[in-house]
Amino acid sequence: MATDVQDVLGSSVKRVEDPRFITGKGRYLDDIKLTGMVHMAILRSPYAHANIKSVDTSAATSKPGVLAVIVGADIPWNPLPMAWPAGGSSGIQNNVSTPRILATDSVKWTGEGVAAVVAETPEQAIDALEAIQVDYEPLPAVVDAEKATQPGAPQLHDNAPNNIVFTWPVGDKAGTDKAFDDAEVVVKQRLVNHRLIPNPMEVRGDIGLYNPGTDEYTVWMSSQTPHIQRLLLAAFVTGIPEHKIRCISPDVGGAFGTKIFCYADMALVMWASKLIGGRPVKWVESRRESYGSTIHGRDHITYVEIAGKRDGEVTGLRVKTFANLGGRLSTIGPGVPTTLYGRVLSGCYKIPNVYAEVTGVYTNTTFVDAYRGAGRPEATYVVERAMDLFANEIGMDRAAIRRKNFIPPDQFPYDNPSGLGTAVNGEKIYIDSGNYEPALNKALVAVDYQDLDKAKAEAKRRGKLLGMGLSTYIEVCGVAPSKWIGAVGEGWGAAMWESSNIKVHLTGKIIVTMGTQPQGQGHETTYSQIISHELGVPMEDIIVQHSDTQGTPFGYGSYGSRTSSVGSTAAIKAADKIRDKARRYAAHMLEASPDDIEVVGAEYRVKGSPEKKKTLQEIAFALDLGFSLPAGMEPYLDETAYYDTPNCTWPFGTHIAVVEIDEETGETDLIRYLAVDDVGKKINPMIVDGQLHGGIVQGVGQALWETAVYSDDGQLLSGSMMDYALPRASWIPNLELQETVTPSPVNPIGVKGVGEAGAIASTAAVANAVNDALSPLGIRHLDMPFTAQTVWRAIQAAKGGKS
Amino acid sequence: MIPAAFDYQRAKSLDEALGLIGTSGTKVIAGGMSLLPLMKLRLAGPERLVDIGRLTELKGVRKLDDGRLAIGALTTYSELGDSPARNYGLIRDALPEIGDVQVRNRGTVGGSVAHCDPASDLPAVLLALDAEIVARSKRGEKVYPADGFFVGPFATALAEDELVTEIRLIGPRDDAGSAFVAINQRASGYSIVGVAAVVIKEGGGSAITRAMVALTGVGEVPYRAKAVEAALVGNEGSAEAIEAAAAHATDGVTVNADIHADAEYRTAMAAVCTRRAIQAALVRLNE
Repeated sequence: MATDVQDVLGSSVKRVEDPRFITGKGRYLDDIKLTGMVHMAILRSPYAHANIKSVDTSAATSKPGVLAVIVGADIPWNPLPMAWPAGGSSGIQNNVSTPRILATDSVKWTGEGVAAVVAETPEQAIDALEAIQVDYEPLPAVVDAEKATQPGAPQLHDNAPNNIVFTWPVGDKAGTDKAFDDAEVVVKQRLVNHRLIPNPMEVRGDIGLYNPGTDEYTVWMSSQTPHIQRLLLAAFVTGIPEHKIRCISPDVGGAFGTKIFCYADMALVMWASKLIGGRPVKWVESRRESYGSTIHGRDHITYVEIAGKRDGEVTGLRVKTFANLGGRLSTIGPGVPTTLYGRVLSGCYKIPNVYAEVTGVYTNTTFVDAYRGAGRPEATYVVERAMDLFANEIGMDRAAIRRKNFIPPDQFPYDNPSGLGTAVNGEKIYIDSGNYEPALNKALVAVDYQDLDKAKAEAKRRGKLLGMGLSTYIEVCGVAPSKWIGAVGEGWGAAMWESSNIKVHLTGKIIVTMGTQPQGQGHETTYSQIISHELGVPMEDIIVQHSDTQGTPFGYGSYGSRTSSVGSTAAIKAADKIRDKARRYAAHMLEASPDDIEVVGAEYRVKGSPEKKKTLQEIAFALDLGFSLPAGMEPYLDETAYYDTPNCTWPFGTHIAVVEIDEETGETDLIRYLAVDDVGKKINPMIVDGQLHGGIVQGVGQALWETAVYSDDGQLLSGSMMDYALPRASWIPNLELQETVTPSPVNPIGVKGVGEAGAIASTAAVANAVNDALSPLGIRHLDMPFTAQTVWRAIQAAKGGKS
Repeated sequence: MIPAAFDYQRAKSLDEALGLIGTSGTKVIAGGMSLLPLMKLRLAGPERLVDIGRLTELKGVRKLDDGRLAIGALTTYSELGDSPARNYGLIRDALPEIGDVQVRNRGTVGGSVAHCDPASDLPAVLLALDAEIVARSKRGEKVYPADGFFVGPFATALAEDELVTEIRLIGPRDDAGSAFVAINQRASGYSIVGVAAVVIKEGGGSAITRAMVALTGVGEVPYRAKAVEAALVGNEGSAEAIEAAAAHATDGVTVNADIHADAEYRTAMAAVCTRRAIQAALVRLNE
């Protein structure tokens, strides 16, 4: 580093985004106002399951301000794509039905779009919706994934008998069955991992703009993946050539996965803008609308069986899961409960025999796709509950059983038996590193685990049941190496590399453009820290741009905790190229050999003659002028790098939750939460802490409060924040965060990713804590969410001698 | 989340307001914390709003000559908490449970009373304090006892042309203790069960001479649990006596059920919260 530039990599510098975000100067989708812009509203089905007999738009057409009324039959475009079939290219049958731009013949959930109005104002558009007459023929509905597969259940799609999208097996069935036959102890449990509504702070929306002069479309979208959306909209939905579509994500106010996907409204605003002659058309969902128009998460029913010896050695895990995918499939709906769940069920444990069978199911509910953690929280929940149930069965300490079954540190790289490492053409994903016991031990010490019984006794005197729950988790970040995706066909069905372009302008100021897409995580800060470190330039001389398919290199976007490992490495590789060219040009300027140039921060010095030097700014100035270029060198300091990760990264850790239950009312409070996470090296520890805080609270929210409730006929009863309980800050204790640091071997800075870790670990920790608290009453397992009534009822049943 | 079109008029004086209300399709708006969300969800669609929010004569808490407190209808929850009303234990307990900071800064006491949400906390507090609700119309002033004012979900004894102007509370007294205990629905913050209790031991004796216990969230409307009150009078507040009295919390009431709590849970919790509220009130009385 140059002596005057502080190395900011690894330090908690304040986020460069925050001045605009916290002073109301962010530019979110709904902040964009274009000349001549008009507004669209979507009429959504009030029925969970119905045939559409007719749609009469005549009265709506003549309402004030109305420019167009659109029905599904008007639009010749394709249904939305489904990009991640269960089983990838293995030949598993996937019975696919995806949403059309607007429903034509039938609706499969309350909230599926049926018609749209374009009007001069949002108020006029919404008012005109009420004048559209839809003649529905209501049909019986089913909302429960397990019941939907039973004989006699209402059928959603002709191509999906018994509502089954797919049945996907993973692992060695015969070997696992034998392990169970030979086991000393087998424990079985049915687990419900209930449905969640993601609720990012900013809802979704789009603006479509058709330019009749160029025949080109621009779509502003609140999206995590503008490049992918352009590809999907062009190649799969509309048939419009890819180069004729430009997608722009402005500031995105949270997403949690919901904004990864291709939604009908994106195409609908394109259609609408062309229909009315090229005026921009904006659509922004309301919060209430969002509950039916944006994906939900989780919703598994699982039968888990765990087998082992009386000494605590776990020898087998057998899982059968019904994954509710909603009324039609979202973009990667089938990928979540398969690759991202079934392949990591054994977590951080060396379980030799694992077999899972996942059944994807259609029901008359909002479609389900990746929500923060996406499959891994569900897997962690299964294995962490199973470990506790097994420990309780054999009377073993819950920490001791984890220690006994951890993958030992000397066994990495570790090839897990549920198929993550499945070799196809030699390509594998394997768990490359880990050291689980130190994190566990550190957490146990910090939480005074040895005094748990004393704490329980003290709480009991106050009429409270205290419980402590462990969750030792692993996370899979940076999904995934393109070669592996190509080999097994799992993933987007396309590559998953990332990209970065760095331009050092004539004045020495640097613009970095990235293919990733932030949603509030602080990418502009962390990338600036990395480039500042790599090139020795102060952060304030660097600006990071992203989010526009015109002007940023193609990238697969931000989800799956991939940005810090895959995106950052692309940025480092681009910086390497900048440094390399600057070194060669410095050699030209200083009349030295490139090999004799040493780089110290932003200074390029002749070895042994440190007074002979050029700064990066001087080099950029001269190189951009191009008055004197060595033979074969192009002017301008502008480099692009693409990076494909050789493997995923593998954060891990131990989370411990402590809860107290009011024995009389069932009210459950989280009174302590401690996490020891190993996310590798940190670019900005403050941002890492923030990610952990958010993720932990989201997972706690699932365990204690959040739940999407449908009536049997498919009405969403928790249809607003008056009934869907998001966590509040005052309900959460101070989160005690500690760390171990095992650098990832797959990327140069040793980062792993942290966006999902908190959410992956915390739900299981709280569930284990509540079940621990209830165990003195003889309660073996209680399903989430642990609302006051649920817990009270379990206590009453236990005290009444019922189980 | 856009309401249907409506007309809007802001009243500059109480007399003007009284002249503007009284026709069907007209709703009064004060803080708007309950009405506006219903309109945005299009669950309410008034043709006309009469905004009384700037009628300063309806703001503030004053002491009446007889020692009672008069709370102007437009007093916000926050202002109530900063007023002498905070000397009532149950008001101190209940206020932080109402909405959030923004709601408490805009929502008004009169609005809550007139809106009559079946799970709203303030009506139970006023019932337990044996409050009087003063209403005005062009026809004159009318005083309603709180007990009997709340007649059904979102329905009060107010005539269509009447406006709540003031709520009068008996003054804090040394021989009384009060408390409010609730189990909240976590999403909305409304009470699944909320119990307001006032116990009085007149004449320096050790026995309870008077008790007022009101429940919200439990029935179709906040109500006085008269059977609980009757059972408390004359006893000295032993744990057994309180428990026995609290067991009557839902006598004669059709108990609510929704996705958060069924009738069995609410019934059980009504007894638990009633017991706890009475106990807490007695602790305060004895302090």
